[in-house]
Amino acid sequence: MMKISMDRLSPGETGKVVRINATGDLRQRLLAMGILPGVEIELVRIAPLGDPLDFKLRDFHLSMRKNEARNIIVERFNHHGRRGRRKRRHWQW
Amino acid sequence: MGGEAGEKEGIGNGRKTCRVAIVGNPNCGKTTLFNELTGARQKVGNWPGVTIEKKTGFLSVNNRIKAEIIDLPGIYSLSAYSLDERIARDYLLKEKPDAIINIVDASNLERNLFLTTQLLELQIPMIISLNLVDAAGKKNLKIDVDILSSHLRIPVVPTVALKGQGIDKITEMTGKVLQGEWHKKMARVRFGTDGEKHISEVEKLLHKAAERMNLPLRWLAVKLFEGDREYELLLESKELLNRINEYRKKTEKMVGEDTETIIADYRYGFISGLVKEAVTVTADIRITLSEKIDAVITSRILGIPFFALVIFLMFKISIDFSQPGIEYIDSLFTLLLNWINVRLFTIGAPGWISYIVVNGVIGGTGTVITFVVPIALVFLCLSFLEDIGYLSRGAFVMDRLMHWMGLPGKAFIPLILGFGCNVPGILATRVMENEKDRLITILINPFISCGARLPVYIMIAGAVFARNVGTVVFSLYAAGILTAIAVGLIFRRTILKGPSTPFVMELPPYRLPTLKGILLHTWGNVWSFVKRAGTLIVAIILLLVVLGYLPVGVTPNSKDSVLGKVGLAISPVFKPQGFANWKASVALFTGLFAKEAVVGTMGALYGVESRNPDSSGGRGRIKNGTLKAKIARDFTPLSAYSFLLFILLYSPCVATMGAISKEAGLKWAVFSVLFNTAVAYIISMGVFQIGTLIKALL
Ligand SMILES: Nc1nc2c(ncn2[C@@H]2O[C@H](COP(=O)(O)OP(=O)(O)O)[C@@H](O)[C@H]2O)c(=O)[nH]1
Ligand SMILES: [Mg+2]
Repeated sequence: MMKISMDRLSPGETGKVVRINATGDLRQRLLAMGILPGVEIELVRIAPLGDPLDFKLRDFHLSMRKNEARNIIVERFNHHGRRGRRKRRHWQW
Repeated sequence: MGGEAGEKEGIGNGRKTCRVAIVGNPNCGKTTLFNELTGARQKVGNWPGVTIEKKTGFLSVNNRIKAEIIDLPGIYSLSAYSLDERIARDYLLKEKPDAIINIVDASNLERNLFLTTQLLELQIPMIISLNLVDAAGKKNLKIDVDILSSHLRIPVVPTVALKGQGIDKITEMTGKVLQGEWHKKMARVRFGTDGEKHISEVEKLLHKAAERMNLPLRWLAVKLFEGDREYELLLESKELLNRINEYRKKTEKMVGEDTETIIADYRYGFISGLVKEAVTVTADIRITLSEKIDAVITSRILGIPFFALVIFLMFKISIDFSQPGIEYIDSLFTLLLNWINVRLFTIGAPGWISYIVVNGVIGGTGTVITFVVPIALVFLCLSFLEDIGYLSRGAFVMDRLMHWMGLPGKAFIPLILGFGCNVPGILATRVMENEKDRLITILINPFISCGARLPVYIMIAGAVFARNVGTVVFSLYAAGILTAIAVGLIFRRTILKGPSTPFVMELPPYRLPTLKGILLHTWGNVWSFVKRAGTLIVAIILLLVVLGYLPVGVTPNSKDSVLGKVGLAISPVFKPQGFANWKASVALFTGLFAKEAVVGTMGALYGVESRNPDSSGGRGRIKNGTLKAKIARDFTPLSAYSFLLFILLYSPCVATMGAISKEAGLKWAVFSVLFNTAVAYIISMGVFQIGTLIKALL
């Protein structure tokens, strides 16, 4: 299983949280939002200017900058695509 | 709204009135429910954290109990991450309301219940208003209220605050809870065998401290077990803290996670169990309508064009559509003025009375009413965007740009509110967590061109630039934005250095706004504007009319009047900017009281002299065109533009100064006055000089 930081997911891809590296206030906020080990998070889309990102978890949408998402380590889910999705190039800005 | 209740009415325990706090996540309908319960008028929005101020109102619960209802800011947890959270947490823990109405968004149950699990630890009688059940229904979620209620061991009332459904039941259950009928034993989350063992040890250590700090024991124990910095600092004994930390470390070793994660994990575990039992999904919807809309509106390709279109339409509506309205009102007032003039003349009123009544009172009121139109339209657009949920999408789309300015996406909303009025814009910065971010957003807000400046642009640009008024106005707005960005960047790199805060923002689902909600929202804003600014404007115009009339005998508003002399004294300062004429100087001076007062002043100084029955009784019929022509005589397009730039940028008006002083301190308000005036002076000088040079070269 491949572990990556959450900002490296491709749009439409889902990951399962394994670790949160953030500390302090950010950690508190992430935990309160329900970002905990075991939770599935989908990267829905990237904002037009390349940042922030729109994630979906526990049936709601949360936007986060790459800088914050970098602190969350996820396990790639169905990396080869359950809907036969071709692997998309990850946009870099 | 009154803060303290004067009532003597009690419920036995010696209190005057019961206090009931409304607590919940942002956008779950707190304000809507508050309005339904109290009948008070208040802003209803759809942007995370719009409820900033503490709003209170009264509810007569039954014939024995009267409750003061408090609408607390929307929060996700009882941490002290943002100012909002701190306000809510401090209120709940220090002022201890008699009961809590916890609003839970039924369409987003899991995350909303996280806060509930924390509230349960406060030992305050509580009921849940399970709101937005209509939205949950649309998501095909069926929620068993009885299961929720029996597991949490508190009353749960399903509501649709928007339609007033369930409000009576909320009132009834609040009464029951206040009378102690339900309080016995609320559910509490248990934090696993190891966790509970150690937390109960911590509790034993904290008995005295909790009593001294006047905090619920369980709550304090859990918070310290999590390593909450704020409570650690409050704890007096170092030794006590060390012993608590030992338990914490022991648990962390046994479980293999830090206690903060353990605690949150058990809370969400508890919630998952509850949701599994209480919620049935009747049909699977993979993508909601809201998500389909976002797939277009915030997409990579259309996100920015759509945002630009929204802003463009906002200006189109508020500027172009208001023109006919303004002209219509203007012509009505001219008719009224002439009629009153004739009346006063026929009843033989003394000249000075007709002069002051006609020009000061009626003229001033006319001025205020004229610019109610564009301001109402601006607020109408903003309320709509806010209620429908687009403002947080705006923050999402624009965050990168804000980030580049060293500000969080959240700064976008206070700044865009600044287009309506800088005062609410500055007040809205309270949702920002970081003090430096907040201060920067406050200080650059006055450069954002508020609605009150619009009539000034329209008047002067309308007089001088016949065809291109729209372009000129647009460029002024752009200049304001650019200055705000530049100043923000400079502050971030100089006097307010520091890292920017983490950006984690919910994108709530779009909600169809109600016409009533938008109109109430707009009406509240316009009314407070008319009240606050309107009276000031009439007062200033009256003052000016009197100063222009004195000393008795001079031609009103001539250079010999008091007003003229003041203007003449100041005007040379503005030679490098190209508008060293005394009328402009007087207008700048009065513009300090309120930027829109520039319109009144210019109107009084240019237009009114010919309405004056003393000097030219025969020329009664003054058309808008005459005023424009007179203004046009004193300005070249270049000097007019320089003058407009100066009005855009110079010192914030008195109301804005007050807001800055309130939010950041008097020191920063004074700084803002001096700094902004200097910026305006330099920029309009630059534009005028460079413009003159280019003209000379051509
Ligand atoms: N469909 C629906 N919309 C609601 C309900 N209650 C509130 N709203 C809408 O939800 C939005 C946010 O409400 P508001 O009271 O401002 O939430 P607050 O942030 O918690 O104060 C507004 O557009 C309301 O009109 C409800 O029960 N059903
Ligand atoms: Mg609210």
